[in-house]
Amino acid sequence: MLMSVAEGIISGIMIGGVYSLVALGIVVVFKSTRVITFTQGGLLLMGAITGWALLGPAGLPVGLGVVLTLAACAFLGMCLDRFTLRPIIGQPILASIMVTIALAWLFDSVGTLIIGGGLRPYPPLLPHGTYKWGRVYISQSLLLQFIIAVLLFIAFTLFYKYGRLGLAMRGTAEDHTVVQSLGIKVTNIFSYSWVIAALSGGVSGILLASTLGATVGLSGIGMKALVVVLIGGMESIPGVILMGPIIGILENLSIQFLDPLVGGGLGEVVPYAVMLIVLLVKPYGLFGLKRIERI
Amino acid sequence: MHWVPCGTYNVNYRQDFAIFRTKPHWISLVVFLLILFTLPFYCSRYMLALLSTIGITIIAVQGLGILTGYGGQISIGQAAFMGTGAYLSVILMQRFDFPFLLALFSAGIGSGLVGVVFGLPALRIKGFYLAMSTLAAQLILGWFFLHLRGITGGTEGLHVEHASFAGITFNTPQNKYWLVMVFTLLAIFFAKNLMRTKVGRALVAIRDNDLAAKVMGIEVALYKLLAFFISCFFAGIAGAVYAHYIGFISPVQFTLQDSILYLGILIVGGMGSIMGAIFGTVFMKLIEEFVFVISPMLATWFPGFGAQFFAALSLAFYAIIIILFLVFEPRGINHLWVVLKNRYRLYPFSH
Amino acid sequence: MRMKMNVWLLLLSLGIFLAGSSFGLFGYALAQEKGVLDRDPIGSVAIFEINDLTGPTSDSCVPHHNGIWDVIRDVNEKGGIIYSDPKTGKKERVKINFEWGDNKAQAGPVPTLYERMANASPRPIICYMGSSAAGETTPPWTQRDKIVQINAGGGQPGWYPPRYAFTINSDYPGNACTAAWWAMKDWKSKGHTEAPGWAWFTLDIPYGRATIKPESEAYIKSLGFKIVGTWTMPFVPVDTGAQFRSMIDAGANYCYGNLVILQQQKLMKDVTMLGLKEKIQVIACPYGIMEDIIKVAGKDAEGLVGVHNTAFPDELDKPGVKWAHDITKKYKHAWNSDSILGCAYGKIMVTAIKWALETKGYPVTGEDVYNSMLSPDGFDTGGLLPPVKFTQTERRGIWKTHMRGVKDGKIVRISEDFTIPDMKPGGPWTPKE
Repeated sequence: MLMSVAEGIISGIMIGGVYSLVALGIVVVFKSTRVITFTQGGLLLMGAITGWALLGPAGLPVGLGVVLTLAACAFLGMCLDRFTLRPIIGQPILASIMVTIALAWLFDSVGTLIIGGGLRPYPPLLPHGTYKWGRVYISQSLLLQFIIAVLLFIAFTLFYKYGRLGLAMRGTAEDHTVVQSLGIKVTNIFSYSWVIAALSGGVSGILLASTLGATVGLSGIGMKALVVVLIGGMESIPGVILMGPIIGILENLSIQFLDPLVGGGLGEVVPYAVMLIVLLVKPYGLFGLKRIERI
Repeated sequence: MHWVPCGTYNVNYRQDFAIFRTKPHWISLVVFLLILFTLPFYCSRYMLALLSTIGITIIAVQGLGILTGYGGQISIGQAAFMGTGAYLSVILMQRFDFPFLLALFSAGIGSGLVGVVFGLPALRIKGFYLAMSTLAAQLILGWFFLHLRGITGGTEGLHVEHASFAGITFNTPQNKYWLVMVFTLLAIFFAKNLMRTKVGRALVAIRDNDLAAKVMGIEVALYKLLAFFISCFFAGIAGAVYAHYIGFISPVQFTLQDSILYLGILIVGGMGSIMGAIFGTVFMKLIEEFVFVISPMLATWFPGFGAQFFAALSLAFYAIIIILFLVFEPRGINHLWVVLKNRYRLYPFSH
Repeated sequence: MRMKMNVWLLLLSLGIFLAGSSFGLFGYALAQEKGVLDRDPIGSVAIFEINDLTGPTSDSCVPHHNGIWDVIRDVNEKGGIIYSDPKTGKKERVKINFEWGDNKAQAGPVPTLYERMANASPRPIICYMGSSAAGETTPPWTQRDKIVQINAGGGQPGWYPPRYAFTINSDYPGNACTAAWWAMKDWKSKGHTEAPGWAWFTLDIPYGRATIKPESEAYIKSLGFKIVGTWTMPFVPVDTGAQFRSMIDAGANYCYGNLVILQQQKLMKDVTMLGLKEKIQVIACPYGIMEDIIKVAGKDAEGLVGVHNTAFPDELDKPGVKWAHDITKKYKHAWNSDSILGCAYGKIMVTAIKWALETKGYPVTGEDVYNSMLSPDGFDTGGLLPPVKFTQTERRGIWKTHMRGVKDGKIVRISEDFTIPDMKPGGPWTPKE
């Protein structure tokens, strides 16, 4: 019992690391463009499928394949911004929500067009064994996913804090007009934010697909990432880093201990219920900024 | 700018408020209704099924239009509220022997109340946050449909007896079509008129700026919840009618994808207009049918691609249409219709 | 001697006459066959299909669709269904119109899809419902419209109460009984004496749940199992460790569920990674132990067992399997147990129409096909499936199942045939109130 709690918590943290990685893209896009993206799952799917196509049928070596996949994702992110989101700047919030949802649908169906409804096996990227720690088993691939996510987070934080572009992005997050007057082109920053979102989606897509295989349903992870973001606070990167693992733990423990009592299915619902409660108590998330509105 | 037909002078308030002003208006209404209700005599069952599903969707989308189009509160849970209505009506009829009409309205009201519960976050949050909380409603209600197995039948769903009232049993495609159409027309009529009352104007004020509305003395909290209630009432009615139309309900009929599709319909049709919801529903359903008809043909012509290649097209079509509308015509089909009408009325002058 | 000679001559001439006439008859028949191909088809019959061509279960449904489509294309390319008309005795042929729709594993699009295709001209006489969502909605409608409905899924609304819907496959609760029967043998052969624990996996769609019925639970309990609970599988499982931990804490030794390859392979990967293969035996339903599982799960698939009922794809010595293999290859589709099922469905549908044509002549109605479905001899699939037979009160075609297992990267048969118990509601296994 105790062992399985420990296993549940540890593997929850590790799955949560990937959720955080997916969610990072959403936060970055929101911070600079004020658009909440439902497309993150679609970008993840595109990453997974491109990775499959390059590593599987095309047979490229792993390093080259991953780099090319990420390049393709970055290009996709830029196209998204240029051709679908820029035209709707200034329209009500529903417009941006619907555009991103429609894009997610588009990616889903493009995914179905490419790989069909089934599953495409991935070449093994991550080691495929178990670490035994006392009586607690942790799968190597999950641990490695988590480590990669942590490393990427560190890299991103450095970039965001000390990089020139990162500084510009942070400025954009504060105020568009001020940044514009300082000679930074805001629309370029939008593009870069989308590129980062696409990269975060692409990396997590490859990571997830390497253990599961590429399948269209992977895009559903994007929805979970949204929950992570909302609980953490739309503008808070620390919130995302913290909340991903917490959602992972919640999910695992509710599957382990609540599901047998109620007949299953809670793993998918509990995060949303928690989100609903958090929204009622702290509407801007646990680490979010409260914006003061004026008429 | 909305032009009235040439030669129409409003000499009192009654005339000014009339929806149907002129003789041609009335004549076209009567002709339309006649055609609509005599269709079963010369239409195929397929047409009737298509029109009935369109009618049911119109009811749900009108409700969403009140909440999202007029009230500005985004809801991604309309299908779940529809499901609530469907389950409530069936359970009330099967377990508590409610007569059909009573069960229908109780389902509407019950679904409205559920909507109010999930609308409570609207008092504190708006925009995207609200969208996410209604998304949570969709998933949580969906979980209840699946897992309250004793009441809802779980994944196996519930079989629905034929509806009957006033001595008619609605068991053929023809009279089911009439049943659906009556409720569709009632819903349109109700929505159209509701939006011309104090409630409707308050909702529009809240949509445009809720702080300003509050300053003007509008009870924002009350009206937001009212909007949720009305919207989910419509959804509940739609669900109950759907249940009795299709004769079988299960959780897979009320999915997140449907909820999102209803929002898409609203955008394609034109937000904040009654006609928009109708145009949007007809347009999107016809697109869906088009893809259904065309995809086996394409698969037969290009067997190399396989069947599922073309089956996946319908979602892509929806997505592309929604994006194109948002980018090029954010006011939807309704705007095109208004422009067309004004052109016609002003012809041959350009303005 | 002379007389004997005469007798011999007589016999010889008789023999020559018989041989000649039979040859002539044969030639006449051949000429008829050729003639029928020269003539225009007398008409056409319509078949339609509603299937999950996209969506979470589509990797099983698409091969079935392809199988049916291939069979129908093959029949049409060879001139259509050729039959001898009961009134004139002449050979005739009819073409098959085949139309399909994709309901994406949802029930929403089903009514318009159904009404459009069911009211097409010529009026369809038989339809195939590959999607559980469709197959369990439509039986009242097909009964009303008198269109024979062939269900892929073995969910209960598809076969009980007896209507126009026929389920060729073994039913889902019955599959679970097969798994439990094998598991009990396995458990005893390992020398255990205490009661083993049985856990259900389910997907939150009709297909996933269809196997968990009071009847199947009663049967499994009667074998000596302790049923420890039901765990839900997400459509796209990121990690199933939590489900397994919970299951093992609850005391499960065997788990069974109506899943498809997508989930089954993840189960096998996780059960291997977490080192649980010794503790819990994963048993798959027929759609979970198709050949693809080895392709996608690789070594991790070792040790998976599952219920199945078709022939193996490599049993090409069986005439039906050879036929199905050739057709599948002709249209360049993948060849596996799923295509066996698809081709068998197609063959049964075409055969039923042919029999109806031979008893009634053209045009046939759905009712005629219904009657030929109930033919007392049942259907011969040339070894693709066990004997398929329906009766007035029984709409399940197959009662024989067996167990398969993954051994050394190949799926092999690991048990003899098992006759599944009757899982009818109100039948022998329904728990008494």
